[in-house]
Amino acid sequence: MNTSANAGTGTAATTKTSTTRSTSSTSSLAASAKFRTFALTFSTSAPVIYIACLFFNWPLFTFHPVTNRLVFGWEGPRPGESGTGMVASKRNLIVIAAIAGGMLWIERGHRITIEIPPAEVAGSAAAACPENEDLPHSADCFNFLQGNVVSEVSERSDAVQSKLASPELGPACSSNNENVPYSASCLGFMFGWFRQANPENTP
Amino acid sequence: MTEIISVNTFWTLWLLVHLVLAVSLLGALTHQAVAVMMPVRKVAGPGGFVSRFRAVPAAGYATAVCVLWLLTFFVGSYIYIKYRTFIRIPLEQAHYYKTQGFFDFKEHVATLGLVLLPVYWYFWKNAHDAEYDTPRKTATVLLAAMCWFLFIVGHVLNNTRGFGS
Repeated sequence: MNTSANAGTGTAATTKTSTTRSTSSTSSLAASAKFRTFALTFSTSAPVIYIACLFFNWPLFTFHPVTNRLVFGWEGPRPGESGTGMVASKRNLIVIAAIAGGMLWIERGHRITIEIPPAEVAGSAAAACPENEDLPHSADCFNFLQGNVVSEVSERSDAVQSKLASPELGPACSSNNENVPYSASCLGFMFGWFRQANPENTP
Repeated sequence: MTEIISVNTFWTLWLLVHLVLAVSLLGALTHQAVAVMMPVRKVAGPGGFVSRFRAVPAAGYATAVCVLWLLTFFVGSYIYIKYRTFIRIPLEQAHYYKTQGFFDFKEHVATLGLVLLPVYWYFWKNAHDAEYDTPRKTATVLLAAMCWFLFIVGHVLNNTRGFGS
């Protein structure tokens, strides 16, 4: 409410503002999408279930006061229980049914997609790899093949490859030339760096 | 308990509790329904009774309405035990079928109002969302109309045959 006085004319004007949406949601429950689904489902299905329960006479339990007997569902009086006062509760049934319906409707929204990705997505990822195995594979292709998961094994493999290709080792073996002696690095590459020469054959 | 007060007094007290809760609920819902149907925008000068009646923070009533409806419903369900045997049967014997039929209908209306409370509460707690304006108004006016019906039917039934009569 704002009150302002106009001194020049000597009149007072009172301005009142009232809106029905002045209070916003403050609780997490009101902001919850799950509660929204539950409330809408519960409040729309419960009246329908209630009318159906009334129409078909489906109670949750029946109470026979003569013998003080409580029965699940509907059951007529046994011999000796005849008389008035049998009470069949329908409200409990519709409340339980509506709550169950609301919860099921919430769970309906929880889905795990296990389908194959669309063709265009799969095609673009596969395009990272060459058609021919003789061509070099790019980093994107390796990521695609490994599912973007860098395992410990692949890390070790990368370490070995980078060590072999390091310039300090020099060229490994001469390719396609058996007429020249193997260098020490070539022997090391072929037999392993921890190979010990046979002392008997050593000149 | 029967040593302190009589059985009729016991049930009459519970009926009074039911009445007080119902009147509180009726007042809250009526304020809210009028505020939502005829909101006060801007009034120059002092407002009249109607303007003051509808110039209430309607959203703040939502939780109170839900709680009051629940309490009134459960207290009514409790005294229903006594109604079923001490009031309904004499009404049938006296051929007050319309009164009894309206009270049966009252039970259904109260239950239907009860199951509307979650969505009613949700609409009011999200009053800033213009998407819910129409359903919020509808639910509020519907609950107010239900509450007036429940109140009048219960009042007439109590006049026809109350506890202890």
